[in-house]
Amino acid sequence: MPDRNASTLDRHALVMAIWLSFGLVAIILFKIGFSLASWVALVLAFASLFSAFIAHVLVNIVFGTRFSAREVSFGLTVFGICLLWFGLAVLIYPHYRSNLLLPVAAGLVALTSAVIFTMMAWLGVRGAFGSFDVIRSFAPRKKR
Amino acid sequence: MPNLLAMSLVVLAAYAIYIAAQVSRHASHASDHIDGGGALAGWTHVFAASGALIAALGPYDHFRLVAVFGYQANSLFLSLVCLGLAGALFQKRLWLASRIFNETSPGDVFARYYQSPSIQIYMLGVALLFAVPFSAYLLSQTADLLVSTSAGYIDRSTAVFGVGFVVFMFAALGGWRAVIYVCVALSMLMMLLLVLTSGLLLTAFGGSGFLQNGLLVAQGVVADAIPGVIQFSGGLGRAPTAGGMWTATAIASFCFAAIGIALSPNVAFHTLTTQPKRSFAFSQVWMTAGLGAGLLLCLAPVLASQINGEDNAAYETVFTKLSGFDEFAGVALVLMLLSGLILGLSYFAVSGAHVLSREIVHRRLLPDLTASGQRLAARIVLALMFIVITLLSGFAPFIAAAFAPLATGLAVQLFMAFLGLCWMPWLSRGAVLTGMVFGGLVVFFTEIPGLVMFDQFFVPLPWGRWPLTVHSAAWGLVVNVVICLLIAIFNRGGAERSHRDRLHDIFARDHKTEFGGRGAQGAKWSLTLLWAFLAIGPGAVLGNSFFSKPIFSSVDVKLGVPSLWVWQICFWVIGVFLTWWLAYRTGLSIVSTENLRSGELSDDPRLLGKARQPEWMRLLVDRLSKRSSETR
Repeated sequence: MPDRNASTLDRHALVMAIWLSFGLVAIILFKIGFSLASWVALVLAFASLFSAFIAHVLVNIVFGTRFSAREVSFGLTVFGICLLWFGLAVLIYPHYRSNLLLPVAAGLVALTSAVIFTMMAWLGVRGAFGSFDVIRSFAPRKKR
Repeated sequence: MPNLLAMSLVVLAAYAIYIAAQVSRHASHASDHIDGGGALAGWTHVFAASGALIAALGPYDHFRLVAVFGYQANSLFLSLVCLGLAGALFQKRLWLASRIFNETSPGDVFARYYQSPSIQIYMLGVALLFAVPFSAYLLSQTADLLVSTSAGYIDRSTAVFGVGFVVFMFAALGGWRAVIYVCVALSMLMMLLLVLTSGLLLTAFGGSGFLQNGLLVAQGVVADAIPGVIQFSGGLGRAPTAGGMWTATAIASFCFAAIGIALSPNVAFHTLTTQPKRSFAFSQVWMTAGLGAGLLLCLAPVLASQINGEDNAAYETVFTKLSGFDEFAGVALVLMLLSGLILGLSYFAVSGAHVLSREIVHRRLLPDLTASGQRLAARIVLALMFIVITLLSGFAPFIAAAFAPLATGLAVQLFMAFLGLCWMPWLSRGAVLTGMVFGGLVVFFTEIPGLVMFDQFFVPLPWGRWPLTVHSAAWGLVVNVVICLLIAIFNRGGAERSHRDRLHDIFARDHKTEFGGRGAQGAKWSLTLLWAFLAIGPGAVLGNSFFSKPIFSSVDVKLGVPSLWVWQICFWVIGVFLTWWLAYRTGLSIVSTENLRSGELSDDPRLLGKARQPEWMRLLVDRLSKRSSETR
C-alpha cells in the first residue's frame, strides 16, 4: 500500500475511533443528563465532546492535515441540529429553561469557542474571519 | 431496552464494516490484507495491543473473581505490569530480529534463528489454541452476556452466530489492518465505558458502601487479605483452600502465566507487523502497565461490589440496576464488557488465522500462489477458523472453556525460546525444545483437559488443577527452565552456536542496549526482582495489614479502605516507574532504525523460496490438485 494511502487511512481510522468512543460516551451522558436533569452529567458529556475535539486537533497536527470538508460539513450539521433542537426544547418545555439552560448553553458556547480558537490558531484572525466571509465568495472573479 | 442494545450493536457492526470497506478499497497487495503490509502505524500498537492484552486477561472473568475472592483477586491486575515488563524485555529485539531475517511471521523468525521447524510447529499450535478455543471461549461469554441482558430477546445461538458472522465479515473484507483499526476503537471504548459505569455506580448507587462494609465475597473467603504465601492443597477440584485460593504463590504464578499472552505468536505477529519507534515503549509503560492496570486495579472493586460472582448471570443484577436508573447506563455496562470480549475475539482469531495462512499455506502448502490467490487462501483459512469457533462456542462451550487456559500456559513455555533469541545465544535449540516439550506436558497434566483425560482413561491423578495453589503455567515453566538450563550447560558450543551468534553479533554491533555501569545494571534487575517479590510474590502478604496496623506503631490506623488495596496501588505506581525505567531510560523498547540493515541475515539458502516446501508436502499437493495423468 502506498505510504500516502496508508497515512490517509491511519488518520481516518484514528479520527473515527476517537469520535466513536468519546461520542458514544457523550450520548450516554447527554441522555442521563436530560432525563434526570443532572447538570453534572451534562457537563461531563460536553467534556467528552471537548476531549474528542482536542484529540481530533492533535491528530491533525501529528498527521499535518486540517479538518476535511466532509468533517466540517458533518460537524456543522450536527451542531446546527442540536442547537435548533435545544432552542425549540427550551421554548416548548419550561423545565429545560429552569434546569438545563445554563449547563447546555455554556457547553455549546465552550464548543463554539474551541472551534473559533482553533481556527484562529491555524489561520490567524483575518483568515478565520475570511472563512465566514460569504459575501466575498459571491464577488465577481478578478480578470487576470 | 433490548432494542437499544441491539441498536448499539448494529452501530458497532456498521462501524467495523465501514472501516473494513475503506481499508479494502486501498489494499492493493496480498500483504496489505494479510499483515497490513508489515507497516502498521505505531499508534495502532499503542491502543490495539494494550487493549488486546487487557481483553485476553479477561475483565469479564476478573470482575467476577474480585466479587468472589475480594481484594486478593484484585492483585491479579498487577499482572498487566508484568506484561509491560515482559514486553520491554522481548518486543524490540523480536522486531529487530524479524527485520534482520526479513521475516514477518513469528514462527519463521524462531525457525530461522534456531534452525528448527519443530519450534515453529509448537508456536503454530499455541497460535491455534489462542485462535480457536480461547476465541471460542470469548465468543461464548459474549453470547451469555447478550442472553442474560436482553431478557430473552436475543437467544444464544443467534448471538453466537451473529457476532461470529460480523467479526468474520469485517476481518475477511479488510484484513489485518481493518481488524487492528477496529481493535483501537474497541480498546478506547472499553476504557472510557469502564470509567463511566464505575462512576455511575459510585455516584448514583452509593457504590462506595463496599469501603465501609467490605466486599460481599463467597463464604469462607477472606475479603481484604491474601490467605497466606502458599496452601498445601492438592489443587482445585481435589481439596478446598482455606480463606480463598489466591495465595501469594497463586498470584505470582498467575502473573507468570499472564506473560504467556505477551509471548503468544498472535501478539508477536502484531509486533512484527508494526512500524515502531517509541510506540512499543508507550504501549508497555503508559497504556498496559499504566492506564490499563491502574483503571482495573482501582475500579474493579467498585464493579465487583455490585455483582454476585458465583451466579452464572453475574452481570444481570447490576445491569437491571443501572437500567432502572437510565436505560443508556445499562447499555454502557454491556457495551464495556462486549468491547473487551469482541476485541479479544477478533484480535486472537484473525491473527491466528493469518499466522497459519502465512506459515503453512503460503510458505509450505502452496508457495506458488499469486497475490490474489494468497488473499483468497487467507480468507478461506479465516472462514474455516470462524466456522470452528462458532460451532465450538455454539454447541460445545465447555470444550472451549476447558482448552482455553492451555493457551496461556503453553505460550509461557516459549519464555526460554524468547530469552535465547533476544538475550542468550548460549541457549541451544535442543535445550529450548526439550524444556518446552516437558514444560508443556506438565501444563497439560495440571490443567482440565489432562486431568480429565487421565481420570477417564487411566487412574485419577493425586493432584487437581493448579496443585499447591500454583498455576499450571508456573509448574510448567519451572520444569522448563530447569531442563533447559541443564541441557544448555552441555551443548553451548558447536556450529549451531555460531549460527545463533550471527544475530547476537548484529545486536551487539548495531543495537546495543546500555544498561549502565555495574551498579546501575544491578539496581535494575534487583529492583525488578524486589518489586516482584513485594507486589506479586510472597512479600505481598505484608500488604494485608501494613497500612492498617503499621509495624512502627502500636496504634491501629483507620484508613477507610483495605490496607491490601493501598498496597496494590502503591506497587502499581512503583511498577509503572520500573517499566518506564527499563523501557525508556534503558532503551529496551525504543526502536531505532538508524543502523538497521533489513535482510542482513536473509541469505540462508536452506530456508529460502521453494526450498521451504517439504518434498512430501509437494507430492501430496500435486496428488490432490492435479489429475492422475499429469502426475505420472
